[in-house]
This record gives sequence, C-alpha cells and structure tokens, in this order.
Amino acid sequence: MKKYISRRDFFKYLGVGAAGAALFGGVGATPALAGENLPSFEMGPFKLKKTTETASGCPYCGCGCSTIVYSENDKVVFIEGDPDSPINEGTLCPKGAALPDIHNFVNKKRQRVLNPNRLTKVLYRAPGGTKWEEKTWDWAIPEIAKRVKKTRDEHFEAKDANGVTVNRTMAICQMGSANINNEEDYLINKLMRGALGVVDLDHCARL
Amino acid sequence: MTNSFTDYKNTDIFLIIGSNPAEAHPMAMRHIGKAMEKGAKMIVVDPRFTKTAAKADIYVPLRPGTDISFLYGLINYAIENDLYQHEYVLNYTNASYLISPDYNFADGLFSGLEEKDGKLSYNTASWAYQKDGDNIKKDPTLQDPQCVWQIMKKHVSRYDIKTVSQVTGTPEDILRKAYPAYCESGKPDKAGNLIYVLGITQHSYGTQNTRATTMVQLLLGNVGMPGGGVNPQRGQSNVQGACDMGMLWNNITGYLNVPDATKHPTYKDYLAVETPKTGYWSNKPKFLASLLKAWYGEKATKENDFCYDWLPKSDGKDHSHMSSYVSLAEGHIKGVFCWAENPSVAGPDASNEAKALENADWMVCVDLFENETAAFWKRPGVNPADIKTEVFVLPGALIYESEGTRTNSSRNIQWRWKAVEPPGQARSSLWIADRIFKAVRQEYRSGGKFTDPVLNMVWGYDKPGQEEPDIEKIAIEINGYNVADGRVLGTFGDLKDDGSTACGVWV
Repeated sequence: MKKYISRRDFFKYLGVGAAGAALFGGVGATPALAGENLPSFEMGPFKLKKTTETASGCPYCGCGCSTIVYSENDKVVFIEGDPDSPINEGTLCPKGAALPDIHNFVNKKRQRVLNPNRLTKVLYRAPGGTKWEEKTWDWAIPEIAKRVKKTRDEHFEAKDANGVTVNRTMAICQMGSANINNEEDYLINKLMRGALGVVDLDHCARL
Repeated sequence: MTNSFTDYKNTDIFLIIGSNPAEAHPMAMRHIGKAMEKGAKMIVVDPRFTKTAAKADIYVPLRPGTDISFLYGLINYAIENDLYQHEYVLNYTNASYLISPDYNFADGLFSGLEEKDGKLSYNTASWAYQKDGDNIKKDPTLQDPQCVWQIMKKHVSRYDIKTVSQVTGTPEDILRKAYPAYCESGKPDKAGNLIYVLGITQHSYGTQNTRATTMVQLLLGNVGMPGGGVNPQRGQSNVQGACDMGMLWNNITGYLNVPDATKHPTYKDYLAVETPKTGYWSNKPKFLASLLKAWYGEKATKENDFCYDWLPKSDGKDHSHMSSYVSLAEGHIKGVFCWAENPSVAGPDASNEAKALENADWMVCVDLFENETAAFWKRPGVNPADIKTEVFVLPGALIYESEGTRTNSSRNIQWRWKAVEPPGQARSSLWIADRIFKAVRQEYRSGGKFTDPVLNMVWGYDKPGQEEPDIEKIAIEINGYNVADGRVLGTFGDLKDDGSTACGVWV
C-alpha cells in the first residue's frame, strides 16, 4: 500500500530540515535529532513513468527546439524540452510549453479530451453552399483528382507563343508550406511541379 | 543564417533590426542573454518599444520603412570615421572590382532605366563588372572612381546623421550613440551580429533592405567569425526546409533555378546559362541530371536530355505568392491548393486575397483547423450563395502526429518521431499527397493532356501492411542513391551527370 507523508511526519521532517539548516548555517549544532530514525515513506510512482517518451519538436518558430512528448493511451500528457538539444537545452518557451493542447487537453470535468477545434473529418462545400458537408477520404480524393485533371487538361500549354516546349499549366497554384516536414514538402513539389506542371508554387518564406 | 543559435554566445555586439526575439524567438533570446551575461551589448532598432528593446543597451526608434536610411547612415559613419575593417573589405569583398564606365546614378535614378510595356524597369547591362577575358578587373588601391568601393562611398555620402535623422525620425543624439557603438565591431577581434526578421523583409523593397544589412556586416568584417554574421531568424519550424525542398516558384529543388522558356528552352541552354565556370555551382549539371533521374526514373536518359522537357517552364514572369493571387483575381488560376498555410491571414492585402479566391473553381485546403482561407466563403459581408468555388478541407496532422524531418533556421535537420495518432480521420500530409497523386495517375490512365510525367513519375513509396507511405524511401530519394544498385550516396560529391545517380535535393 502506498504510504504518504502524514501531518505528523511532516512536522518531524521539517524539524530535521530546520536543524539541518541550522547546522549548515553554523549557528550551533542541535544534535537531539541526529540519531533519530527519519520517517519512512514511499513516493507514489512517478506519474510519467507509465507514459511513452517520443522525441519530437516544436512547430512555433524557426529556432527548432527539440521536445520530448509523453503520451499515454494515444493522448499527450506532457511535453518538455529535450535536454540533449543544444538550442533549447531542456527548456521551452510559453508557446512550446502549450503544445499538448493542440492534440488534447483536460476539460472542466478533469477528463483528457481531444481538442474539439481540430478538424477530424473531411469537409466539403458545394458551389453556392452555405454550410460544410462531412465527407470521407474515399469520396474526396477521387473527386479532387477529377478536378485537377479537368483544370490541367483545359489549361495545359504544350508550347508557348515562340514554339518553345513548356509543358505547363498556369491554372493551378500551390501555396505552402513551411509547417510540414521536408519529406512532405518534397512529395508535394514532385506531385505539383514534376507531374502536373504547376508553375505558381510558393510558400510563406516569400512573405 | 550565417551562424547557429548556439554561436550567439560568442557575439560582442548585437544589432537587432526589425526583430523581437524576446517574444517571437524566445530561445534565440536565451542565447543573446548568455552573450550579454558575458558583457555583450545590444542595440535594438524598431518602431515599437518591444520587450527586446526593453533589454537593450541602446534603443533606436525609427519610422517604419526607413531601415535603408538608418543602415546607409551607419555605413557612411563607418567610412567617414574610418571605423571599417580595411583588410577584410579589400580581400574578402568585391570592393576593388571595377564596374562598367556606363554605370551612373543621377537624380535618384540608376543608369539603364527603360520603359517596357508601359512599365519602368532597369536594364542592368550597365551595372556589370569590367572584364579582362574571364577575369574581373580590380583596383587594389580602391582609388579608381569606377571601383565598387568608390561608387558605394559616393552613394552613401548623402546619409549624414542630420539627413538620416530627418528621414527616420530618430533623434540625432541616439544615432550618435548607436553608430559608434556598433562600429566597435569593426575591430578585428570584435564580433558583431546583425539579427533581422520580417521587419526588414516584409516590404516591397525587402531585397534592398537585406542587401543593406549585408553591406554593413561585410564593411565591418563581421562575416565568417564566431558570433559574427547576418542572421535572419525564420518564423516557422520548416521555412528553411521548405526552401531547400523547392517550394518556391523560382527554384525546382535545392536552389536550382526554375526552367524558363525565355532563357533555357533546352537542357543544353539551361546548363550553358546556369552553370558558372568556377565555384561549387559548376557541378550544377550533376544536380539537375540526378534530380530528373529521381523524378522520371528509367524514362530519363542521356539521349532524351533526362526528360528535361517534362518539367514545366516558366514564362519569364514573376509567379510568387502575390503574383499568383493577382493571377487568381484576374481569373487565370482555376484550382488552388493551400497546404498548411493560411494566406487570408498571413498574406498581404488579406481582404483582396480572400476575394480573389471567389474566382477559383475549386480549392483544396489542408490544415489542422478550419482556417480563414478555407472559410473565405462565409467571411463577413459576403453571401455564400453567390460564391461558386468548391472547397475541400482535408484534416492534417500536427508535428508530433507524423514522422519526418524539419530544418530549423540555422539548418539543423532533426528527425521527429510520431507520438500519437492524429485525431479522427486526420492524416499526415505525406499520406494526403501520396493518395492525391495516385488518384490523379488513375484518372490519367484513361488519357488526357501530356500524360508522360504523370504516368512515368517514380512513385514507389508503399510499405506492405502500412497505410502511411514509407518515409524512409522518400528520405533516401531526397538524399540520393546509385541508380544501378540503390546504394545510398554518402555526400553530394558522389553525384554524376550521366544518369547513374538519382537525387531529389542535392543540398
């Protein structure tokens, strides 16, 4: 059974502490408690011990602070700065410290819930529509592909006015992003520029 | 950035202009603080008295948009009072290079101003260096009136403290304190660190602003020493990475210029125009051939110029963010992808950008939240029924909900692992890009315009038993591999221009 420190033990312990402080202060030794047994108590298990540690990072600015994400049952319970990082050396700024909230937070009933503001479904708005409709990936991806093909085919230029082979479409643009991974950016670039012939492609480094 | 954040501790004096690290880059501020504990000084130049300014030794208020006057004033002060670093300027800058005798600056205008299609622009031919064969002519005495040094000296001579004060609104006594304080870094053993962010860049003449900061640092010999340099701190976690990966209209990947129909109609033209004779860029043919090989695989051969023609060629005009929005507003752009970006808030002229989206036939937004760009059709003052744009909003994944690398401001690349699943149906951008490509390829199986690149694109990232594409395969492709045996290349020095290597991003 867990044994927590009692009020009585607390005062006893405090006495030792005070005596210790006095000892180190050199004001005068009070040896009365020196031989007495210290209260024995066990700490409850360290709460983060049950969690999984994952090395990750912070998305909020260009400093590139490293974080350790502590998660349990697919929920983030705590995030701290990675002490191995030479940039943040185990610390985080207020923005980084608030990172768990984007995934989940503790509500008023003290339950850990997913952030209700996050998008969890594919949304679609039809032309002239006044509200979002919830859709599935299986519907959305082929629909997007159809529109991409239609627009690309209608506005594809094989040669320009001077007869130079250009193989481009100037009717599709791609914006972003500086907040996704390198591999994702690379793949999007390959898809847009390499496969579709998109020329208007930019992200917010320009701004 | 020329320095890493951890190098800030070696700085002797900071000039922070158009940046507020105390609030926007708190971890950078920590390293600035470390230097200040060792006695470093900090000068903050900002129209606002920010939290960083509160910690400064000298705070310089100025009118917004007058950075060039302030910096040219600093250059002029350093030259007039002989506080610049002579040896550095002479040996490590272009100060001694001679400029064409046709160059001049009169009446506020540079030579070469032309009117083209009703617009004024500069023809920069008269700004070129004088050449002796392949070599640039130099004057090591810096006395020739056409040498860069004399031209610059003459140009900035107008920026005396009184004039600068009139333009910037900064009291003269503050300039008289700030200029000599920063010129201290011109001593060979002192490191000056110039930090800027969007306060310098986010202007229509941002390029000229950044140029001025670089000139200051070169003049004072602050580049290439511990704690000294020019440090634009990136505002998001992967701005640097996105630039490296070529998410810019003017670069394909790794800062290879985009093919331009007016300049490089063929592969040969591209290499001839773009490859310099000296420096590391002389390896450009290897970078481009390896990139094309990584994208178009077996179809890219030496005989067909590695399918160079499959890459889209620009029309020689600007296609940056703002130009794309102009094109959208004029009705040329019909389909918009907005991937983890919110231009309706982050872009300039936000209300017109939101209005421009009404002209698109369809828009695909990938984001964590329903952002203002995705919801542009229900912004105040418009009737959604009048807006014909179809909008798809795809739920994306957060930094710790997906695996991959990000590159920070000083180019430290870090791999981040996935800690938790994205909520609900949300998916990583990798998964979304992979599925969209496959669906588009499926559409093109039944024919369409120029199907070659779509059908032949190298795209084998599936991992058995796993929904997500195999990110390691993509990482290997970005790094580069040997085509014959798939062996991962050690460095970009291993790249070849004969098609035997493939490499997505050479950097």
